Amino acid sequence: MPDTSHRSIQRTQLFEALAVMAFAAALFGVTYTFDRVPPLLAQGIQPTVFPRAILAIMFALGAIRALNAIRLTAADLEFAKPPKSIPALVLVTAGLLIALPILMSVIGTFPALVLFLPALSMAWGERRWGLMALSFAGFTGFIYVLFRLIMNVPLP
Amino acid sequence: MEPFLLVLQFLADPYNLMIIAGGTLVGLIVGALPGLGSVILIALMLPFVVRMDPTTGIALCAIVYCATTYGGSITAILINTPGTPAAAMTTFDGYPMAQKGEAGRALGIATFSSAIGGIIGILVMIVATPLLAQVAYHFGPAEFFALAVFGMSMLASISGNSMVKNFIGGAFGLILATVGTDLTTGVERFTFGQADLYEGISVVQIMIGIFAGGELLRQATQTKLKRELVAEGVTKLPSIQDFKAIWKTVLRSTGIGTFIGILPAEGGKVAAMIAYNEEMRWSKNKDQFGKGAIEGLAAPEAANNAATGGTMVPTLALGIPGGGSTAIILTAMLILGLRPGPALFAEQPDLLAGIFGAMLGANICFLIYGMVGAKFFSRITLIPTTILWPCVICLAALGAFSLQQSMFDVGVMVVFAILGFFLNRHGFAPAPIVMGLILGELIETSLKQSYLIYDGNLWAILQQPIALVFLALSVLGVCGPLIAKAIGAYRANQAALLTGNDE
Repeated sequence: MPDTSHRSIQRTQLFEALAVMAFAAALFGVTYTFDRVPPLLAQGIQPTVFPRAILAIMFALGAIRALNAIRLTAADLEFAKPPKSIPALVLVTAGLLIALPILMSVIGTFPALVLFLPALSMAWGERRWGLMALSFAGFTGFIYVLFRLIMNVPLP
Repeated sequence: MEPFLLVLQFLADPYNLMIIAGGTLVGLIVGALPGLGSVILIALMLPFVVRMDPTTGIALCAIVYCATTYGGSITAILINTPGTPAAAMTTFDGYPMAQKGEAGRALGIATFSSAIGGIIGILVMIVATPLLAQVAYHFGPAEFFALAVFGMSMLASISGNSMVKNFIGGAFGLILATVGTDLTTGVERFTFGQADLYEGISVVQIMIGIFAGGELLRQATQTKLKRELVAEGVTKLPSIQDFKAIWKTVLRSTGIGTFIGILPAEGGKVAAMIAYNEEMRWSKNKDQFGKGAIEGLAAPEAANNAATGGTMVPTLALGIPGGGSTAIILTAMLILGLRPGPALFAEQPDLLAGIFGAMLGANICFLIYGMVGAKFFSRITLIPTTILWPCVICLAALGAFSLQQSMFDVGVMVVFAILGFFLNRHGFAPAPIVMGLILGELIETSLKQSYLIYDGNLWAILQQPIALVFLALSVLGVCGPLIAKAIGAYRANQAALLTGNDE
């Protein structure tokens, strides 16, 4: 495996570890904004104690990962796979997933489904229009029966 | 005898039989669909289950848990794609058998091994769960704290990932469990002024997001994957010779599966892996493994189905989930107001009989479906993901909304879907996060209660024998793999030195 791949793996592992440590440190800082309560009400343990203990452990685990990443030998890296870039389709799918609740709030559940279902399907490469129309019409009907008629859920 | 009579009474009710037949069918269909599995299905079912009668709802979860575990083997054998993670080892010998034109024989062996493993696992569950619950009568806060710590320590060996990453995942889950108003003091923690977070983040939305949403994004990385059946799946009954060849394997693997299942946090996947490795170790035909050895097919199937019964034991008796699926079943129980543990056995014998009976019925039912309908289930695998997954994610979003009729919950689901994908991509498995999320409240509450009981001296926890045993096992669970690794490295070094000296 070329050296650039080794460096890329090491960098990714180090980045992961630093991200964990930063996350734990940031949340540890947030615990200082929690209200303090009188010892009698806190029954000996303030509400900050448990989260701080967990965050300290998390930080330590992140530090162990960071040390391991720095100390990786060529033999360790031999069988490790270099990180692949995220395919554009994942980002498109994530975008559509974020759009779904927004669409549901703005135009309502069923119009949102009518837009979302074929949009995601087409983004994934589906071009059989008849199959899509039949499947998604059937599914939308199933959703109406299940949520509106059986469960009586007031969908937006 | 009483639990068995209650189980028989449950199975004699035509309504319950209908639920078993329907639930098993859904479980088999979903189990046969690669990417979907028991965890995602039960997470998607949660919003509906919590509106049902508790016995029916929890029994239904238990039924689909058994059926999906078996269903995963059909795709593993016919298209070399395990429908569920627990069926991953089944591909090793199941698919080569199908390639050699023995698909029917492979399906028959998988079906029988699964059913026998599953039924024995459930019988052990019926006997062991009340016994373990009796032990739990002696548990106080110190013991529950130690038990929960033991559950977390088991993360050291799950998911096949780095131990440190599993613990980071577990710690993340524990932190998520602290979000909301602290019940003892009324102090808001990590709410960032958001009124929707005052009662904490709903476990259901997190699970639906991490499992179903995360899997949707993972599926987006492989939309070009074409799945082809190597053969039609018409199941054939195993011959007398096959029975003779595998009966010891099935029994041995059932024992392994049940035991691994009972350990907190472990599950069918680990059970199948260990059973396969053990079978290979003891087999006279080691060279046939991976090329279509029937023992290599029977071992993981018997073990992963036996583990379904095993994982329910700590879940029902102690409230400590035995795996990912049982963590969601436990969540459903808590939402329905059922508190697992000894009280459940005294107050809700019908519920327990329902769960035991439903799982037993599901194993018998999938034996029948598997023998007559494998051809149909194998064709389900060919449903295009481009149609299936948009529907799955819409069902997930609407399920997340329906619990509290809140769009905030759908937003939480989406956030955890994206987070779940990125965490999984970087090797942080979802199961440890869920374990932390489920056990977080128990750990914090029992720690606080112990602090009060022992007058601020937490070392007193170590003076409780049961707690001491669990904590010692926790230390062993964490240090064991490290010690084994160090010993392995030392031996390898010594061997290298000896070889060098010889030369």
